[in-house]
Amino acid sequence: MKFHFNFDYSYQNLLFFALCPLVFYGFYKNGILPYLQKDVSFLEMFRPILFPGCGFFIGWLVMKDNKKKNTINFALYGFLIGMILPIKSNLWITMFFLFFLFLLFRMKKMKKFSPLIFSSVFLLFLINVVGKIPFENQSEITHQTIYTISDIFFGRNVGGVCNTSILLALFGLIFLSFDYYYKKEIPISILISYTIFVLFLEFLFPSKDLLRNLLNSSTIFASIFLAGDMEYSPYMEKGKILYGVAIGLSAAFWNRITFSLGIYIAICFASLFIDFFDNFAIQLEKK
Amino acid sequence: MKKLVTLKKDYSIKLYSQMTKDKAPKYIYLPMDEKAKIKSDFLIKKEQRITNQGISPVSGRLIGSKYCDTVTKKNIKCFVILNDYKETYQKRRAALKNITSVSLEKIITELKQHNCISLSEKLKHSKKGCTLILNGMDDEPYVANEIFLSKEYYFEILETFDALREKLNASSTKVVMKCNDRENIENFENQMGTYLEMELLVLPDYYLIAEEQFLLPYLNLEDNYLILKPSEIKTMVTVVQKKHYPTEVVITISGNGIENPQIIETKIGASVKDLIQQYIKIKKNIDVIYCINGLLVGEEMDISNLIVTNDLQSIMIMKKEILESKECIRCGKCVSICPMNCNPKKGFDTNKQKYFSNCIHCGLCSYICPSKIDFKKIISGEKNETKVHEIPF
Repeated sequence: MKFHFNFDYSYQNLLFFALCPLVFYGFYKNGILPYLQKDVSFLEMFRPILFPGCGFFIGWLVMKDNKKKNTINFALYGFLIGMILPIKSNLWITMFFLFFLFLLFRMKKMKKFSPLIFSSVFLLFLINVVGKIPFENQSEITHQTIYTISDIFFGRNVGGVCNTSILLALFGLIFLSFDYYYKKEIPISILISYTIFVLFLEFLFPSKDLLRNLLNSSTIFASIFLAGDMEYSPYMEKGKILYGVAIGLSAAFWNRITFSLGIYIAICFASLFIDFFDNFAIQLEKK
Repeated sequence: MKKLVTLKKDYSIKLYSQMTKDKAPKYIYLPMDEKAKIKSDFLIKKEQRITNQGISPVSGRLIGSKYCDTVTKKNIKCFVILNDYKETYQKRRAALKNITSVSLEKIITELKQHNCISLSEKLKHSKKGCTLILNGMDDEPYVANEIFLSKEYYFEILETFDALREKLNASSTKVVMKCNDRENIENFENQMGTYLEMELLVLPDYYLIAEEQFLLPYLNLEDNYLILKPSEIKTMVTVVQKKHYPTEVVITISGNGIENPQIIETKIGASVKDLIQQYIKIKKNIDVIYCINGLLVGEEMDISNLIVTNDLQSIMIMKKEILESKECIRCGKCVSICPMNCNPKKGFDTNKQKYFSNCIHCGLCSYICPSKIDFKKIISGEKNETKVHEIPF
């Protein structure tokens, strides 16, 4: 075939552009502000940029001579993973594990799992659960800070390196929705089903964290930028919606158990069954 | 039926505004039986029947035989006729002023006698009181055969179409054009005062809209209709009015590998290579490939022995680019774009033809694929080399 739609992987460029404001905000919140409050040194101020930057480089390095795979895809995976890690993680150890995981995926040792989601869950589990490194930055640890709901919405919130701004993530969703390839059905159905199920759980088992649960920046960020990962998500229209609903429901459940990792675990489990969602959608369409 | 799509085109590929007429090719190649004997230097007159289907489009001398290719068959033995440029006819009949005086039955018989079987059958099966549609649209990007025929012969086409309307007692008559075909829309609008019963319909520039099954929903028609193309009306004019055999075809030679894309009216049996050498300037310092009958539905061919036949519609001369197909990224666009509700992705994964059961070979799945997977190969039964990693469960 000699005639192709002329937009070679434009989705990745757009995804990168959609992530840039979040990186700048992360740099301000986790870099500049702690530096101005004299909680971190001048060099430490650049950590929020170093994490996604190093992740990008590692992804590119691992896949650079693989002709069948798109190198930029893995570079973006690295970039995204760098954005969700706690700011106080050890950069060298994290990047070593990321390199090792990507290498395994390159050698096709773990075909079942999505490189992006599996690496995210593995590293977050290693850092946050095993290493007990919190998500707070140095300022949040040093000074006692209480964030209001509007603070949380605008991004002044405890979270990963660059994934705290809900507003910018939602802008990213709107921006990406104009792309022909972006699977917008997935984040939309996740966010709707997540909200409904959180409200339902709140009705059954009341807690004081309803708004904190609803405005969970990790959940919103992961559903917009991670769940719709092209290769490891369903391709059928109805399959995408079912997949989103399944993630939304299980994320609401997992968030009750482990607040910071819930969405990643939900996506990781759901991504193992993407063929099931597609086949189910095909059966539905046949009827 | 899914919504049709508009294809993204390279607007730097512009067709020359006039149709080039190649009326006198030096050699003509006409397919023959393998066992037929050739009498060298045998004089042949124009429109002389040489084989069952082969009518000589020129007068000249039979000088031998050669193996040639057509769009559908390869290596077929052909008579070689050297054109003497005298245009001496074997039998010439007086042309009519128009076809108004000729009955429908007579038109059908004449078409049948002049090897236009499909057109005669189409007219034979049309019912009185049907909706008559003139479909002046081309689907393939950069191909404009019907558009240029409408432009070049619009007066004759409209006159014949109107005569057919009277003969078929058509309930309504519609002329269908694409919205980007401004010149023809203007021409037809100017003539609408003469043909008051005709209705001009301007449709969006969607790919496949010229196909009958996709056009009918846009016209709100289900049955009792007759769709004719300008090329078919032109054939009718040639056969019934001018009393000639249809020995000429219109082909588009276009693409980003040439400097002067154009529409050429040439003789059936002419050599494509000679045609390109004579009329087309290939861009310097580039390698080109030849895609026959469109970039979406056609295929790459070697043109060195290719001859012009009725089923040759276009030659796209494209810059040679190495397109490496990558692993499928499960974007699902092939599924969502397919107008026939096929599942190319599933067919690609499983290599099973059942997922392409409704396929009309429109090429949209390959067009939209960001991994540049050639679904055509899989549809035709070839094994896919770029197999995607399958996720269990």
